[in-house]
Amino acid sequence: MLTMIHGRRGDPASDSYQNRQSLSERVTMKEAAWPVPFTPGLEYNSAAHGTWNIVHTGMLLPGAHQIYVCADNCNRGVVLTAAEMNASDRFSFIGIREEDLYSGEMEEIVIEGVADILRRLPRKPTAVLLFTVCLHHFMGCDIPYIYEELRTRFPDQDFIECYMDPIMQKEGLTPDQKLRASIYDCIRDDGKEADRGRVNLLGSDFALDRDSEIYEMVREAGGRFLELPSARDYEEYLAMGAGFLNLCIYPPGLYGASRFSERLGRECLYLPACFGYEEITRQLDRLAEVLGREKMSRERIRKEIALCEEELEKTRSCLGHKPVAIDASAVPRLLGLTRLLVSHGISVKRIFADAFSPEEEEDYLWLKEHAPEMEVCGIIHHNMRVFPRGEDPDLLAIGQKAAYFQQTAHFVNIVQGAGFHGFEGIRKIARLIREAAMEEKDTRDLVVRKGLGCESCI
Amino acid sequence: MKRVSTVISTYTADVSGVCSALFELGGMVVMHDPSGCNSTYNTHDEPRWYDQDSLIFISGLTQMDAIMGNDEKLIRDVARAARDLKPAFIALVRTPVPLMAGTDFFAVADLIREETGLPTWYFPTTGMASYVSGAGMAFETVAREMILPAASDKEKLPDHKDSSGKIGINLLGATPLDLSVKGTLESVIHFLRENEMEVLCSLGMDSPALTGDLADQLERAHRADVNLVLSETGLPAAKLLEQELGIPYVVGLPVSEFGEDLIDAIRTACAGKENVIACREDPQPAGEGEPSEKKKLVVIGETVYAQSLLQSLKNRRDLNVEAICPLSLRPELLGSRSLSIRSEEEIQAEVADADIVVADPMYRPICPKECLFIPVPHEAFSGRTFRRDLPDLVTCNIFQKHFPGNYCDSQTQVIE
Repeated sequence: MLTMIHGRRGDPASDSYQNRQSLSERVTMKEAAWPVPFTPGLEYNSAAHGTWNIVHTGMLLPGAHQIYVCADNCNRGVVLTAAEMNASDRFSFIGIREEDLYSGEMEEIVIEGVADILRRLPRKPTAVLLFTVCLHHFMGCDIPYIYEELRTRFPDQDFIECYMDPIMQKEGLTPDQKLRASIYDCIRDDGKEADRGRVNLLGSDFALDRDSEIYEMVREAGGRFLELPSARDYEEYLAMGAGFLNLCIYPPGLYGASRFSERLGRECLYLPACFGYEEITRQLDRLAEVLGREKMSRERIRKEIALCEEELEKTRSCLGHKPVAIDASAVPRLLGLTRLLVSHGISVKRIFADAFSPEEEEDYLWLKEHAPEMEVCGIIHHNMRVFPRGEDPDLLAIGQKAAYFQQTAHFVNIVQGAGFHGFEGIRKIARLIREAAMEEKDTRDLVVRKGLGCESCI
Repeated sequence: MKRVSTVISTYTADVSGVCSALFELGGMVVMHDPSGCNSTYNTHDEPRWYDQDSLIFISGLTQMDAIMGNDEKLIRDVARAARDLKPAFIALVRTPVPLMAGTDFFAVADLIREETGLPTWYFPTTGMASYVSGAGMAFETVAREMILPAASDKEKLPDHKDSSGKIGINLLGATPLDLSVKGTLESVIHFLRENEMEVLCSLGMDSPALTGDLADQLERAHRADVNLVLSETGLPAAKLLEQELGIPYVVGLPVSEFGEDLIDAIRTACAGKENVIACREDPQPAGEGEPSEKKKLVVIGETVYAQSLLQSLKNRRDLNVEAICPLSLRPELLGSRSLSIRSEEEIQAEVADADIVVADPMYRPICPKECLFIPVPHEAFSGRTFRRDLPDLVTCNIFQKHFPGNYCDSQTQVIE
């Protein structure tokens, strides 16, 4: 008899705080189980698509070409992602057929397929991001052999080992996390000493807000700041190998940032974009320490906080009693943002999330106590397909999924934290909320577009 | 290498084909898949997703459940969702991983049927075939499970013939994958009405131009005189209805001048109770006055549409016309100037000497630079990428701009 040492999914005994997972698609905050409020089941996919997928992230690598090896059904989603961002010329695929599953020739099919693509491409790529899929795991495909052979045949190209294997994502790393790690694999340790004048930001799709305190601190320390979203060419990407310090502000990027830092023997500093003054202060202090600079003065910190309070008060006053809904795709720290707004008198009526981040346990407990009646709704729960749209016409949404479910034209159109950080990040979000309250957006047109911030030709 | 595509797209796969065909029928469709199939379907294959709340889900299959054969979770989750959402039926759709794991879907469907009391169908899709196969099997199932039972009560119903004497038509094979949502279906219905025909049922896509909802339409579909197959996806259902109810079918889409021929074909089929593959007719043989130099025109697209478009050019003696039907599954649908090739390499070779190419814009990079390229977006190929440019295939005369004088009609649109 197999003993379930990790507990069973949905087993209330394995949940902390004695709350049961809900079978329903919505619960109050006081009833919400930690860290997964809802019993998993069939999954719905909403029509809001602004969050980035692996194709968008892969396109950040200058001059690279993506090749996917999968069934047509899987190919279609990625090939059209590339097409919609006007990047079809940087994308190819190899279609798997049913007979390939049993022929024992998968390795040859991949190698010859990649070779054929590289032969036919008019411009040779700097690097090839080669994606194998769930089927390759199940077939026991010899992935290392494939890369070994390709690297021998094409010594001028860098090959990056990528995966589109969502079947693994609930029990391990997601394809997104794996890509955020492997995308830096071409940056090699050249044996030189780290350059204390260079700092990297790793793992983010969005460039770091240039008004943020951490950017200011790096610049003031005389550092050159490098990151993939703003890399102009492949050389600039490779130059990240010289950086002495790697920063990460986006949680799904942490695994990759740590792996890269460990491989090159560099320091990695995790400064997740958060909404608590104390945590931000701790992050800035730690950064100053690593940069070998003086900490930001307490007077300056007080001034920054005062400016945040001013912006939040303006926002509260602007919204009045207008209800607000926030979804988990808008910012990585959903509960932190919710807590910030609730604690400043803003009426957060509902949040949308399928699970809470392990980093937010303190905010979870705070909200249970201070906003017990606030609703928590799932995003992928099957009942969300028939969630009554537009039941609060006056509501303001933060995030595309909240805007979609609420069918409101007043929403803050951001995903994945938008590159905001620190005190300035709080102020920018506060301003965006006021902007959303004053102006209507074309929700239907905006939220269906893939990869917010990427080119979109639809 | 035939399975390689360096730059063009790939067609919608069978999994999405099933979903598209069943979208409006009130059932619950479950793709047994880890993730991605649902997003691909609703983003690129389903223009109705934002506005209509069809119950289409994925199971969220995990590695451990696939390896350990934990089908119990799938059964439990489907039954739970069915209790909450009360669908009219349940459809299980296979994807590549369960195919490889050898999931016993027949047993799973039996258990779900037993637990929910709902009709439960299983579609053995692979994720590697095209939507023509997936939508085809879904339409055939709907015909068998929802149209034939209504026909068994035929004797109890009043005279099935319309007292007005109009020919009763069912439209088979209508999905947004081929017709999109830009008015093509309505134009087909309007065109048939103008020709003294009445559409009883549009299987797969409802239209405000029709009387009653899809359930009403399915109830009366068995009374039709002719089934009009608008895309290859409708053919398996047409064959079943012909076999079981003796309703003949006609294959074709009323594209510009071909519309008149199609009307004749419907009347012929109705009178003689015979099937007519109208879009397959070969061009007229060469005769006197034949130009010495002809231009090569190639249409790439869905089998019925591409060949119907070719038929509208049958009087053009100065053209060598050819259709490339990458999706064709049935040789009997193809005329002598139609090719069933699919790979980028083969298609590129075939169009290398073409003077004019009519195709989805995503084929442009593999066509000769100097050819006249006439873009006609196809939802099943480029998804929503060019949806804004997608024409009403019936009223839009795509050749008007390029062959003025021959195909002009004040009612038609022009693709720029």
